[in-house]
Amino acid sequence: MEINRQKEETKLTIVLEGRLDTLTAPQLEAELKQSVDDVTELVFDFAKLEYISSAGLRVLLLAQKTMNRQGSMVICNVNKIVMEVFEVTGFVDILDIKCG
Amino acid sequence: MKISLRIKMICVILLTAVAFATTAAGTSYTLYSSTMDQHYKTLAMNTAKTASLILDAEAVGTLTDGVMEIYRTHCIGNAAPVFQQFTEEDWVDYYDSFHEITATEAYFNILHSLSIFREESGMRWMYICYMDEETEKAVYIIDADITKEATPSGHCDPIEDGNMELMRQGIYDFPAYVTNYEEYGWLCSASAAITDSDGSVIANVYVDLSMNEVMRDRQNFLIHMGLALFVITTLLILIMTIAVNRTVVTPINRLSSAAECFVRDKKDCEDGVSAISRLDIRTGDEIEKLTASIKKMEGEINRYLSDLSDITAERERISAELNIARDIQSSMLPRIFPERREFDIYATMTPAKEVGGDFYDFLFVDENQLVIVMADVSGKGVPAAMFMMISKTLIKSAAQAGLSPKEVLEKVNNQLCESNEAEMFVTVWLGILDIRTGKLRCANAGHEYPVLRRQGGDFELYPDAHGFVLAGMEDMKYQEYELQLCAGDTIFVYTDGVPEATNAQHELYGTDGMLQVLNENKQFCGKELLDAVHKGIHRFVGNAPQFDDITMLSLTINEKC
Repeated sequence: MEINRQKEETKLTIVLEGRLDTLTAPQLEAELKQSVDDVTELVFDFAKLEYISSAGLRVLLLAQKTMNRQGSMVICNVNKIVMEVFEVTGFVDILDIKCG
Repeated sequence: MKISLRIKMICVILLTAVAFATTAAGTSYTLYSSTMDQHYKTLAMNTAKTASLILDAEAVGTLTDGVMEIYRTHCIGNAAPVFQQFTEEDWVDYYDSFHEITATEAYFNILHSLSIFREESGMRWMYICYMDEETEKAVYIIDADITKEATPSGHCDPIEDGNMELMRQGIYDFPAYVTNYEEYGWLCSASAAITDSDGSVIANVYVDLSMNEVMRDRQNFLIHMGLALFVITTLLILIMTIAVNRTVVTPINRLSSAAECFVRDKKDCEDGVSAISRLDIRTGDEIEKLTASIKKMEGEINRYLSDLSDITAERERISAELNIARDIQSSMLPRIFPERREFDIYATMTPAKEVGGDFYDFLFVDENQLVIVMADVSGKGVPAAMFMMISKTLIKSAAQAGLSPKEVLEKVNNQLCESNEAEMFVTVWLGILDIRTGKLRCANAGHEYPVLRRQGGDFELYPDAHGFVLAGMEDMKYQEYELQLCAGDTIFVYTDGVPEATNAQHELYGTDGMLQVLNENKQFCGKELLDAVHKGIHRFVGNAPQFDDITMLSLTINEKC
């Protein structure tokens, strides 16, 4: 999986590419841990994310909880497979999923 | 081909020594030769000059006049006699004609003193000639030799070109020059003029040095020089070889054999002192430094090896503990299925290589209420396994308290949220079946959609009302729904390990694959049905490794009901 990040002042955009599963989720968790401190607007771009496993969901949940305290979190460009996972697991209820 | 350092060193030393000796010999020989040549030339010239001074000029003049007078009688006009056409008799006559001169007392006196001087000065030849410009001949007056080899008076030699040139310039002293005639041998000659009181030239005294003697002298020098150099060079080679051996070759060989012993020593004795640590090389140079480095390296390798075996042991221990953990986890799941005429229930859990967090459960709240649980903890490994234990226990106790599905999920969610430092979560599908009525009350906390098959129909996904996963957020509300199950109806619940089974081409089995295999085997229920699904998954996945636990549960209402 590839993690690309763009930072504009307090807005952080993270573009994920590939599979977010047990093997790659710790990468994203570490990345968020070090870069999310002063962020008030966190945007995930999932246009190129092929798959998400429960380990990936856990990292998203962590991020959501962090952002609930310090700002907002939005997820963009979610594909059908990932959207199904969000729906089945009830994550649609707690995540802010936008733009397609 | 391998050449030992010792041989290489000796070769280098030998080559250097030979080059040194050759250069030394060549240089000194050249220097010696040129010095000695100069010395002999000067000697010849000085001897000639001395001879010219000690001779009685007047007596020599008389002799010369006598010889030349007779010589001229043989001349043809201004030209020399035609010696080439002389017969044996002519020669005898010619030389006999000079007898009147050679028999005089003056001739003997000069011959006597010149002979003594020749012998004392060590010259090969010493003779007096008259340089006759007219006939361009050097006419012998007297030869200071009393042997038969002596050149008789009146004998003529052509004048050397160089000397002729000097004579034209009025110079009658001829500096040393080298000639090699068959007649006289290899000679270095010099000549000085004998002059009377007026300074006019009477005759020339010639002095000849044998070049063979000069050469013999040089040879002697070369032999002595060579011997001395040979001795010195041999000594040098010996000393250098010993020195190189002692300071380079031997220490390196010791190092090398100690290093070779390293592994063998390791195998043979654990406690013994290694060959490397026994090394005591004190050369005070890079080799001593190298030895120190190797000793240090040995220590580090030993430390590394012991660390490595510690790590290996630790890894084996962890691996063994993980196996036990997986066994404990598997044994948590009920394996004995109730044999009831009203329904048929069966479940399996196939763990992945790494311990995971899937679980199923079923229990009777009372004799008519059957609770069925299918759950999946996020992530893998020991954390997931531990979280699974807690979740399973909490759900079981909440269900046993007689709570409704919705209430069970809401209560367990808050309990799990209380102490969830690791931010884990668990998806749960929970159903409570009333055996008497066939009513199944269900709630779903972020779990996969159940699959339902009505009597005579196909297996189909049942998109139920979904709540959020357990342990994600506090105070989440869950919805409850009711299914009326009749005879022949089957409900199939599973974890994401089934639809997300992946083959070598990274393709997912999907819910479509799962539904297909279920419908191909819809005549079965319980164990046969789950075995058929297992086979289907196995066919699809092939040799690709199983990443996730595969857990399934099927409940079929018997027709008798």
